[in-house]
Amino acid sequence: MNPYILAILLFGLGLGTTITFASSHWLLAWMGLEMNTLAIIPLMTQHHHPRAVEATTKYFLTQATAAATLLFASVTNAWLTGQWEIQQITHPLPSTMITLALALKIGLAPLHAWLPEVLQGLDLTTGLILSTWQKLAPFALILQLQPSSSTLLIILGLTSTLIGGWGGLNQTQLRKILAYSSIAHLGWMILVLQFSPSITLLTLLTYFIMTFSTFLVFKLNESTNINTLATSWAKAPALTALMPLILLSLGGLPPLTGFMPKWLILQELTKQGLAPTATLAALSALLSLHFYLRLSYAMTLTISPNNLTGSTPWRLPSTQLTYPLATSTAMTICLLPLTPAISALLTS
Amino acid sequence: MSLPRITHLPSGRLLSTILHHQPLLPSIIPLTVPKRAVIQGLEGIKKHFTLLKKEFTDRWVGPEGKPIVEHMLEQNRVVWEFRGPESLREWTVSSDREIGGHSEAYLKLGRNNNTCFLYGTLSSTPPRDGETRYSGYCTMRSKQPLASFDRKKHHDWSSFNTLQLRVRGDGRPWMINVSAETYFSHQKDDIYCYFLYTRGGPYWQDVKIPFSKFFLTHRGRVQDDQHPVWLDKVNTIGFTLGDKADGPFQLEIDFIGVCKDYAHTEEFAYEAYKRNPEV
Repeated sequence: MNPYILAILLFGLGLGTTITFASSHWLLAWMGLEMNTLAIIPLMTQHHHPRAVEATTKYFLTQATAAATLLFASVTNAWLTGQWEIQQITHPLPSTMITLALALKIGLAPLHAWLPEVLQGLDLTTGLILSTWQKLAPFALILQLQPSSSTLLIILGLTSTLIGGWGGLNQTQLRKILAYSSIAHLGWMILVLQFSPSITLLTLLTYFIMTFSTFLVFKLNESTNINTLATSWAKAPALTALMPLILLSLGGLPPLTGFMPKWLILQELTKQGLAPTATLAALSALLSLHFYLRLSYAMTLTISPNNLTGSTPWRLPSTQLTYPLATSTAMTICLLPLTPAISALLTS
Repeated sequence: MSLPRITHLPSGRLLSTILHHQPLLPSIIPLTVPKRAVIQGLEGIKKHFTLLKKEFTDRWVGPEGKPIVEHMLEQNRVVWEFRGPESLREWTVSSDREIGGHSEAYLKLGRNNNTCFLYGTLSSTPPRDGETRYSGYCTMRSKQPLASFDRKKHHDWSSFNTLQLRVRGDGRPWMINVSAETYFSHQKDDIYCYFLYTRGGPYWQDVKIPFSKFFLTHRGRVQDDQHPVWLDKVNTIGFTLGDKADGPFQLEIDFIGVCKDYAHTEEFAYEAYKRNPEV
């Protein structure tokens, strides 16, 4: 893509999220969300491929629907209560509609059906932007909401964790697996939103770090399905050895970073008297863990059939920058001991 | 009682029917559904629920119903194998007869019910409708695979890179058309094609065509903006004959499969030249 156009689009992405962060008026927040949607559309269609066009169409339609619902709900709230403040949604009808609109924006179940297909149609870099950056602006609004219906959030959260785990079981395409992983993680974030928004933010940031590492590993190996991933031992042996740790961190196993948000969420849910919800969420995390383990098995614990006659790729220098991957991998694996510091930060 | 007979009823009886609410006409349409339709309906429900249950239980075994080890080790997969009459039901045959032409195409099982036999006559006489200038094609296309409740399913051939067939043709050049999912991209007639040159003669021919060789066409015209076929959502495969040679044709197919050729590393056979280069 022309570097000037790429710069404008990336600037638009950044500006949209910043506008939403900085807004206290619903219209401005909506505008930031729309800018984000429109800026990423050309990035998604830069490869003229029918699957990319399909992904872009689906993304645009769902995001436009969500934005329209959001605008309608905020206008309804302004009509009913006379004010446009983001934190002052008190009427239950607009509050519920806004929650559902933002759920559609980020891909929470049961409004998740677009996410696997959209991610599947994109290249890994754009998929990474979609999974991480595009979630920031809606979450900025979600964190400021005063939810009127706690049941809705619990239902959204539990459905997402279950569907995220269940849906990923049948996949061999890596991008779809990451989409279902995203749905499951979003479910965990929403479960604890009404009790402790700071833990939601922590889960979001931890998820970003882990997903960033995963996407970069897939990009380095140029793999988009499990069979190609299985040949990564010849491309980057050290990374192949480290990848199970990254995947288990995504799965939320101690002593890796991914355990931290899950631990804090389960603790908070139990404190609030929602032990059955916590149990169900923890059990559904097992489903996700199954497909992360499957990826680890395919990548690291087996050597796939191959026909290597030439020089193995790891002998040649990599064209991709490894510094971001190294940093994010270190953060994905090693940050659990910082839990006391982070808890203190959260409660202060 | 038919309508004309009612008009001959004495008016007194008509009035009494209104007062006593007796039906004038016996019901003409029988109110019972034929038993055969009920049985077919029940069998259909049973079939769809069985497919749905299979979809639920398959994912506990592994992705696409196979253990992960089997998925990783799979190097060849036979997708269509013509071993009985039910295999022909997965295919649709058509020719330019649909637009008013004179070609004929038929599909039957070959000898010993071991192969499929596509035969007919090609005629390139254009239909006389005043607008069609060229004609003369016959095609055999696989039907879209369906999941439970007739939902669309796709072939996922992303683990493979070569199409392998065993055919016995008649020396004519056929075209193989692979069609991917195009519902959302609004490019319904986008088809990826490559040629199948048959040898004719009594000997079978094993044909291996890498998917990197397939080029993109739209309604038969080769497109400028080419890209390799994505194999994760393949809908149908088809064989078309349109070589402008009038006369009889036949094509016998033993099986159609996909395989992973580790030695084939080409991603796409056609270079994409930069159009509108900056000066």
